[in-house]
Amino acid sequence: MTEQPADASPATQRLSEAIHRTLGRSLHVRHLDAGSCNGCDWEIAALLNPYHDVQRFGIDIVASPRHADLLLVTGIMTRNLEAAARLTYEAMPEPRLVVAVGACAISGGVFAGTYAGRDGIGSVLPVDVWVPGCPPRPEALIEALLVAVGRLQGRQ
Amino acid sequence: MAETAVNPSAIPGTPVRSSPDGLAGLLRDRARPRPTVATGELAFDVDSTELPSIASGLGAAGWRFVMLVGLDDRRAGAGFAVEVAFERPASPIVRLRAPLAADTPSYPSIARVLPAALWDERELKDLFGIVPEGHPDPRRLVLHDAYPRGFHPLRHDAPATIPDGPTDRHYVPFAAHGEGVFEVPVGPIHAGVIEPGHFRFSVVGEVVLYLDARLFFTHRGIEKLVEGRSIARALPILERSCGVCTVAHATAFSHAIERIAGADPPARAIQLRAVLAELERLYNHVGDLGNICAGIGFNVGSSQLGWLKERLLRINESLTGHRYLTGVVVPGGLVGDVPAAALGAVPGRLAEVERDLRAAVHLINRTEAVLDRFRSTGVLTRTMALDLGTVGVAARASGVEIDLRRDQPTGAYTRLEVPRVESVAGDVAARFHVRAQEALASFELLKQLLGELDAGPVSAPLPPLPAGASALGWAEGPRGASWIWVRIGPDEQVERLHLRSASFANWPSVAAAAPGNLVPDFPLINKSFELCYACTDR
Amino acid sequence: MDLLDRWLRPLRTGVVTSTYPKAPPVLEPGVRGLPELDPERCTRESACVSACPTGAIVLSAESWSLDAGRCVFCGACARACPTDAIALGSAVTIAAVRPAGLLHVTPLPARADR
Repeated sequence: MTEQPADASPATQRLSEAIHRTLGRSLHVRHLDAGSCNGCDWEIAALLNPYHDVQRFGIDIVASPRHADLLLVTGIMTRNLEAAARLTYEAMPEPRLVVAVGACAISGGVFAGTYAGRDGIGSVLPVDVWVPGCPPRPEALIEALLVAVGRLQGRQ
Repeated sequence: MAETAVNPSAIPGTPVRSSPDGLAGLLRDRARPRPTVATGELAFDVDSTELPSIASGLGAAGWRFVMLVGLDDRRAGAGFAVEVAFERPASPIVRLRAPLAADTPSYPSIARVLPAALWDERELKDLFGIVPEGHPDPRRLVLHDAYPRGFHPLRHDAPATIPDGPTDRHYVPFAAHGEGVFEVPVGPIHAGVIEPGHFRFSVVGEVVLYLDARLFFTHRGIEKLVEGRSIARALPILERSCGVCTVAHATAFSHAIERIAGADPPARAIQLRAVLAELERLYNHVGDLGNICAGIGFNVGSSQLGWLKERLLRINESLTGHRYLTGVVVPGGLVGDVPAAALGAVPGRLAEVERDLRAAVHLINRTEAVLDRFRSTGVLTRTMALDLGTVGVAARASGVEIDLRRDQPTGAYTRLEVPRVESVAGDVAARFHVRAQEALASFELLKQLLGELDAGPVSAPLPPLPAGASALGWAEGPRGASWIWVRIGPDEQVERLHLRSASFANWPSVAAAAPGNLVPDFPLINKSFELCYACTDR
Repeated sequence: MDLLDRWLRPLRTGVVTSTYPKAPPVLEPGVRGLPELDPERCTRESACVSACPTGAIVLSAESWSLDAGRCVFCGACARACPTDAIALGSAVTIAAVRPAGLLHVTPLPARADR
């Protein structure tokens, strides 16, 4: 596993095969907006459109953290949402992964230093994959999800 | 810093009798004119005790509430202040400023006569500690349980780190009570890919009696963050208040700055800004039509429209490098010109999307199962829309004629004929219909704009911005009228910025449209308004 | 005719789904991806550092470092550079599996005039 997976490379393709070979079930993703501008969230929603069709990888977006393997988090972790974010993560059964989506979730983005929240989700949730972008495109999210599955495979 | 007279053509003490009809009579003896930097604005100082009656009079004379801005002028030796703005088609913007005490600032609430200001006054109380006396809803709006009481972040002496202190123990919803009435709490985390918000339904069986909506979970403190920053540093923050209204908000902000500077961008920039605004309207409307279908599980519709939206986002990327048009509009014009090859390809690409959009809408309009869910669901009456100050698509779908592109045209819209698209039913079907027709109208506007683009530069440096100057800027975004109020401090920094987006204006309308409907219809009703939580929360 | 059109339409449209990651992502020309530095053109003026709204760029004598987790892909650095040494490229799939993977470091050639 390279430290910095690049774009559609043989490494990513191997991971794609890894989902089907070793997981034996679909990857269920729960979305959590922890105080974003909503740009990242719309790119996550675009994963379900016919062009990106994330379901072709056996990945689906589910309605409850209790059904989820992976938490896709956007936003800076606002003070108003932090309690709900913690409850969401705690409701996930193990094994579970967290992906920080976008500059806000990674570092607070342009909102770093605000009174209204933290500089990203990292001090509240344990992050496994970081996805840069403002917002990251759906392809970047697909790469991140496939990479995250590689991690899941590693832990088992 | 107190307002200073800087525009030599704004004569201090302009007689009120030269103001538009009605205004003179209303304000006689009660308002003292103040000079403004920007043209097209009339500013007055009034006594805070007069605010409710003046607001009521203006409302009766056809003026629409625009916004309410809190100000902390204590460093300039004054106290606090509250400024209330009104607009009316083809009239100047009216700004009323009421100075308030420096120690326990308060004034008589205007929300009882102007329900449109209900949330603005609650926000004022949270962020400044200015009390609107007699306001019917004493609960906090913006700062939730985790913020201590007495912390007012927009005061200039608010502590940099939030102090420990007594907080609210729990949120108290407004709920209906009675035999068989249940409370159904939904959110803030929702089942789909959507922003956070808490909805407390009071229901009997499945019928909603009352909906109490609680937002501000994505409150990021934007108005405080931009204070003391240069224009160039403030803009990326302001622009990201909402990821899908970036052109509307960047344009409204740039408009306000350009009005302070007294300079317009070059012609090509003005025209391209309108192109970007219509592209923003288009991808939002097309996506929202798809989301309405998703609200009832009509996957054929949401898939088709989702694919169309993807194609529009790619067109956006071809012109600006960004799918959501972020980081393009700046005061003075645009950051750069659009690539010629991409521009040449746009009309053809748009024509294909338009053809497919017509087919998708035609399909939906002939599917009875879908129309049955849409019709008479989530009705917002015209009276409710007028009282609550609803704007945009939701207002037009309830028979209210309001569109800033026609009412307060700026930039290229001064020369474009924007078609009127209205409905009177006020239900989900009406909001669907208005969105579809407006999307088709946007294609026409884009054809006109793209066919007549001037050559030349896309930006020009602005004259210096005088310290103490303030002005409003506005734009008709995809959801409706977004307004910005900005005041400049020393060294051309932003001293105070207030954004009142169309979504902020319309959230109370969503709550008003819910009663009488079934709980399972609420996702559909919500998606038919498709408001941004982020725009509202800032 | 309506029904026939509905059946024929998917046949005419065909499959619209992307083939990423088997194939690279389809991007529009001019996409604002990760900023890239041409080290030969860098004159160490730090205009990029000052222009960046989130402080994503760190410039030292040895290297130009971009924190992709702070970058908001606005292009201010590219516009500010007096020697056009920075361009926003087409790298958009740049996920990292540890925080260090967010730092993209371009070594700078030793300066002859030191």
